[in-house]
Amino acid sequence: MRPRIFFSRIGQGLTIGARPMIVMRMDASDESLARAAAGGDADAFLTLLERHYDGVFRLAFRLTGSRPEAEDLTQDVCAALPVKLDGFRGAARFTTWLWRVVVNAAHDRRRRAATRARYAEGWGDWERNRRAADSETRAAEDWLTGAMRSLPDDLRDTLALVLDDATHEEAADVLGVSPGTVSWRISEAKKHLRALRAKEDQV
Amino acid sequence: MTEDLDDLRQAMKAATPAPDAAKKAAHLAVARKKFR
Repeated sequence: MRPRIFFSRIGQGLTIGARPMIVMRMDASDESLARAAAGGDADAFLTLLERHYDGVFRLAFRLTGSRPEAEDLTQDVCAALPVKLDGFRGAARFTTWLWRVVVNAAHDRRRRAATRARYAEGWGDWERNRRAADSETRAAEDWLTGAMRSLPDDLRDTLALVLDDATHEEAADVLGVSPGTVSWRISEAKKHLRALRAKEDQV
Repeated sequence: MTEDLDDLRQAMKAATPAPDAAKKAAHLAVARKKFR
């Protein structure tokens, strides 16, 4: 029987057989895969997610400063992406859009954690023990990742993106601020880290 | 402490772990299931 020949939905050329060839998927741009995924193409979605999973995890780690929290945040993003992709319009680069999803998911987790902490106030020993355990965990972490957790959220998010090799313009796009604000935040974050180190050196 | 951004980048790269392979497979499975 002659193979059925058709063009793949993501416009990456001729494909043979019932499904587009994987090799062509690997060459497809992020944006074309995202559009195909938004249209219901599961193969395109998985190719896209596998391509960017490690990057999502790295950014999640830089935003949270801990592996368990980064893993939870990455899972949140993976679970939310199928629905979120419906909102991808291709106006921005896919990675800019994806990093925005990760940063917003980190904000959601921080809000939930803050709410839990408020409810936990008054729980006495349980809460004190939990905080002590958390403090010990932090002490064992790398100094920089631990120090980043002490930054205000806006400085931490900005530094996490820039340390992830985003340009100031890209970080500005992700965060919805001007490149000038990104530069100011980076400067403030560095001052904060320097002051923290100086304080520790005095002890 | 290093103040230069490039040095901070290098320090952060060194401090960032690779994703756990089992967790990655589980997360991709969750995503696949949610996509249906």
